[in-house]
Amino acid sequence: MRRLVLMLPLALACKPNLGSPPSIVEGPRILAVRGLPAEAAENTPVTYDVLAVDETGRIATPTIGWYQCDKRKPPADGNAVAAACLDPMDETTGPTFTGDMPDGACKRFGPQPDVDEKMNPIRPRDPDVTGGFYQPVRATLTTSAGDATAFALERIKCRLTGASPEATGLFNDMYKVNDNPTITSLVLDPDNDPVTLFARAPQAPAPAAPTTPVISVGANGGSTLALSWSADSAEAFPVWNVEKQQLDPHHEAISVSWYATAGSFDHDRTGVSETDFATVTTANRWVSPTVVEKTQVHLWVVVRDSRGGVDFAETLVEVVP
Amino acid sequence: MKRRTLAALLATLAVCAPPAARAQDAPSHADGSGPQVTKAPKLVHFVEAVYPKDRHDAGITASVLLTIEIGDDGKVGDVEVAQGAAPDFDAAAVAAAKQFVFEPAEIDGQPAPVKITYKYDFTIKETMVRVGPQVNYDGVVLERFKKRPLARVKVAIKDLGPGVEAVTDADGTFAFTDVPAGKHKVELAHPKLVTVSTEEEIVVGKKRTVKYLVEEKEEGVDEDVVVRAPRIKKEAVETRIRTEEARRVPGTQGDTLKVVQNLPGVGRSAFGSGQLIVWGSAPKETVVNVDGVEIPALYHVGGLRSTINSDLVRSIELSPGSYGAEYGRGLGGLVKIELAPQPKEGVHGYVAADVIDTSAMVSAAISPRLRVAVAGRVSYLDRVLQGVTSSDVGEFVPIPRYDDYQARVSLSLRDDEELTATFLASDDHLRRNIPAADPAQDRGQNSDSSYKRLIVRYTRLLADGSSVAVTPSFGRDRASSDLVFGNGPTAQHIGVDVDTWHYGVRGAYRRKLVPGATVSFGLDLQARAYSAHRVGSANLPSREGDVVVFGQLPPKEIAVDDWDVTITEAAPFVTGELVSGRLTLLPGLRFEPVLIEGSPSRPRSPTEAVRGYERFDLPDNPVGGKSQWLAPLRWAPSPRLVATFRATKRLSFTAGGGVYGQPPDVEDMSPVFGNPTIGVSRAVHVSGGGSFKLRPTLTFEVVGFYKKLYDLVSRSESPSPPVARSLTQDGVGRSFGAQALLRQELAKGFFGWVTYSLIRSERRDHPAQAWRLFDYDQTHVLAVLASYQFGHGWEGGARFRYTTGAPRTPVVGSFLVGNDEFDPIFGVHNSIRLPSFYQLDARFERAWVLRRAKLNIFLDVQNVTNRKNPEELVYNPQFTVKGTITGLPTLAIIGARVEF
Repeated sequence: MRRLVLMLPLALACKPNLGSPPSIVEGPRILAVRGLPAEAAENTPVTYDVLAVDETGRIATPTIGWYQCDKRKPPADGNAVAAACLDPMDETTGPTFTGDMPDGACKRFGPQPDVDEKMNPIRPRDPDVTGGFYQPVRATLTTSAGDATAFALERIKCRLTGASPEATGLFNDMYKVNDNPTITSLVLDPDNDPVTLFARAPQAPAPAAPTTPVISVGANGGSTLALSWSADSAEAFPVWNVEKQQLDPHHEAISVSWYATAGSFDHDRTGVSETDFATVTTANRWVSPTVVEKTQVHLWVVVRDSRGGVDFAETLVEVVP
Repeated sequence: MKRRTLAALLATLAVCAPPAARAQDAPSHADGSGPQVTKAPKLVHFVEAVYPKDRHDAGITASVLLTIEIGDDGKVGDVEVAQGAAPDFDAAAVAAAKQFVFEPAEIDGQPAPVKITYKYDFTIKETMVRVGPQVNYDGVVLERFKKRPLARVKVAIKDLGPGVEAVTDADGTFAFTDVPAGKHKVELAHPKLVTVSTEEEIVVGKKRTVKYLVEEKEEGVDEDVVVRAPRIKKEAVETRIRTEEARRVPGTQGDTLKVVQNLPGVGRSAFGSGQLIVWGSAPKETVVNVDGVEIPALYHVGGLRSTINSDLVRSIELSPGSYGAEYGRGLGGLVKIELAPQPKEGVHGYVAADVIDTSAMVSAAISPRLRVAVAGRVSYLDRVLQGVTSSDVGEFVPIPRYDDYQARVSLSLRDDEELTATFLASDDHLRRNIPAADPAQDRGQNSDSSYKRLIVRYTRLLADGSSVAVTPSFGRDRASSDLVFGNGPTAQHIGVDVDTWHYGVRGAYRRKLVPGATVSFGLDLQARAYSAHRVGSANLPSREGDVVVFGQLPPKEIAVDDWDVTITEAAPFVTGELVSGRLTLLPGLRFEPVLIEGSPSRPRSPTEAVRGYERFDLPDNPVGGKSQWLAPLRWAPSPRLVATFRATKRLSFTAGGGVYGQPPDVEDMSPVFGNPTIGVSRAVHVSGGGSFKLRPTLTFEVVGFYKKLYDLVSRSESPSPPVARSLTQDGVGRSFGAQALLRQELAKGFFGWVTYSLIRSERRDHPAQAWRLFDYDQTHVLAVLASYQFGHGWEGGARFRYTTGAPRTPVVGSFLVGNDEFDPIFGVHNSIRLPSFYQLDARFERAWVLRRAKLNIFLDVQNVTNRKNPEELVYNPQFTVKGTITGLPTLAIIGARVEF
């Protein structure tokens, strides 16, 4: 048979235009909520701060309402926190918040057995892929241009359940509570004429946000931005494999979110997988905006490890026509 | 006797056209002064060619161009075929021409040998010669789909009194002589047929030749469908007959089974899903049976093709509800596919290809009693699209790869006794990998599904007219899905694997008790052993009623479970057919106890021994309520009833109803993700309507329906459900509406239909909650399609569809959470809808009849107007901007098919 397979002009479904990418800041937003420490046991204090920004730059003293939610979400709820956590509650207001990891967090949001009002054992919470359980902490930014809500998911240090005593003992020996990752540098055009936009020595506090531009760049020009973090940011940790009933060794993966008040990035997020944990840098390309006069552009990066640790940094560049 | 009479008549009908001889150019001198043909040869003795009988019966005409040598004595010498039609036509024409006698041609006034070309036309012309008793009403009775002659069918002219009847011979033909002029009531009867009546008008001096296309009964099964094509379809002899009406429907790419998507009461499934949404029921609530055996999927993943080769299918019927007691295990509709008997002689088959896939089928009669057939299909659309589309297509439109294959062996043990073994297999695979600059945002999908069925079917028609059918079956279904979010060892996997072994036996015995009363009873036994494994978030795969938004990443939580369940259901049933005058009643009872065994009953734990469970679910019919005296009815067999009243010859009314049950979905019975105590869900169907035959081939039908569903499975509304109780079974549902169908059956090359359904379907997941719209609810469903044969092998058709958009839950806000991801804040559940869908499709086809084959080339154009139909709502990552994913733009598919 003479096979006849022809295809006339074909085009298929395409992505709809959904406006600006999330990396471009066009109004008040919370870009990150950070807990310090990144993992805490019940009844131990945690201090939270935020990276709150708008199109003019970082909001220096944001008005944040804080609320540690104690509402469970149904197991099959597609969201990370219960809808009830969005209900109006008495909040603590301030740019930062310090509170103890609530008593009972490991029953409420963790693996430890609990019962309902009829004393029936309830279904325990499921861990994430890193074996973690999280306390939701709500941060609501209030500005004259609008409000923005974000949740920190503070990792709860709970005891391992469902494993043999031997495995539990080994787990306790191996497990190290999570620390936030540490950004060490942000460099512009690292391969040609590198300019350091942000730098921090190991164990040193983050430098204050720049008030004047670190560098001037031409309009509508592409630049490579290289972000580095400390070698101990991607930590090792064990996970109890329920399916195989064994402890699996893992390293944290690192994700980097990029933000700017103008211009565009090739990628909103970059990162390295846990198999590349020795890699401590990632790069992205930023194209400066088209401007008719000198314009300051704020750049932020937020680094997250896969156990919920957060760090962020910022810089300021000037774009000239 | 009748057969000989008919044959004689057929011979008088086959008269060739007037001889159309013309002299071949005679040799001439270069200067023009040479010998001249002074007299052309003249045919003085014409011999009529023997018209090949099967061609004549089929109404096939032909022309054969012959080269005839005529000697100087006028006798015919060599005869050659210059342009043939078909071997049998050619041979007949040559044999006749060799007996011709001519007056010789003359050249320059002297008889001389010449060679001429002669066109022999085989045409059919009706000529009545009144010489003694004459056949003035005859015809043939054929099986409706394969046009197989039906023998021993009694054709009676009822109004002329008892005994005025004829019985069809082996060729399905019958004849009557000297039937008085006027309108007569004709009845066709046979144990394998539903007795049908029609009317014929005999005109003085004219012979009425008819062709009746009749559908055989299934053994043990009778008309149980409220909305269906009539059992009998009559076409006059002059009507061109097409056997593949469904194959010609635009937008189906020649796949007969895809025509179901255009039938009344069927909603439009989301693009790429291939689901059947019937009368507001969930896709999983509609059961698909092949020769009485359940298969898991009618269509391949994506809905591009059906999983069974169309050429093996004799009929497909959709019962949206209120079907008979022979079938169960579904709360929604019923799709019955009957496989076709294989040709009793010769080798037949086809090869077809288009941009989607290639398929082929071969059927051969090894002996008069033994027939075999094999068929297969393999797709390559994914590879075709890779070359012509952008790389991000796969992000929104997964392109599946599939194959299916079938084998069938039929052995006629005796007359009216047959043993058939059928093997069906289908595979689907889907692979997607969408890398990202952040490995945590990588996505992948690996899905595989397959089923295999071995169906053995024994049927016997007994001498007393009763019938027996036994259908044992065995098979295996496998389905696995793995969604991957992220990269590396801590990538999040969300997957479900279910391995199912299927065992079944269906048996039915049917016999006529007294005139007007027939009973059949049988047993429908099915056992299924499932082994399931699931890993991932509890909310994926999502289920009907979940509040979701397209594109939202799943929660980070993961859980794991392995569980086994065996569900055995032995359902005895009994049905009756009671005919009293114009009223036909089809009552039925079906008893559906279910044995459920499984393990474990609670999540596995290193500190607890695994414990299984076993329970016997008796029917829990949703009747009686709290009434004490009605309480025993809850364990009674499920009643079914269809009643038909033929008010006039053209107008009939039908009503039906029944109680239906569906065993639990094993995926719901995980102790970790679901609830092992889930049992049978129940439904009550009620429907009624009428059918009016506007013309012999034009029918208008309207049906109203109401369905109530009980014990539906839904998510626990508690944020902290007890262990092994993540799902509950206190949901209810209701759907109601009406559908109308105006259908023109194939006549004069045209067929088509207009169908409109008005449906409302709602669910209430828990008693304290309010009713909400069902996820698949579509208020208006309109389909208009038509196909016409233009002649010379050309035909074309068009289809227009309109449906209301499916409900969706609006996103009214969002918040940042965790790893730079936003979660939506939802508005009222299912309170908005996708925009309406409407699309125009067209199909053009050209057929060529070759010597031993037929070639069809078709062009199927989907979405002719290039409308951007919204298929799904999609949001930007922050859920602040809403858009829509649109379906396929204009898509033109060319394909070819060769039949032999």
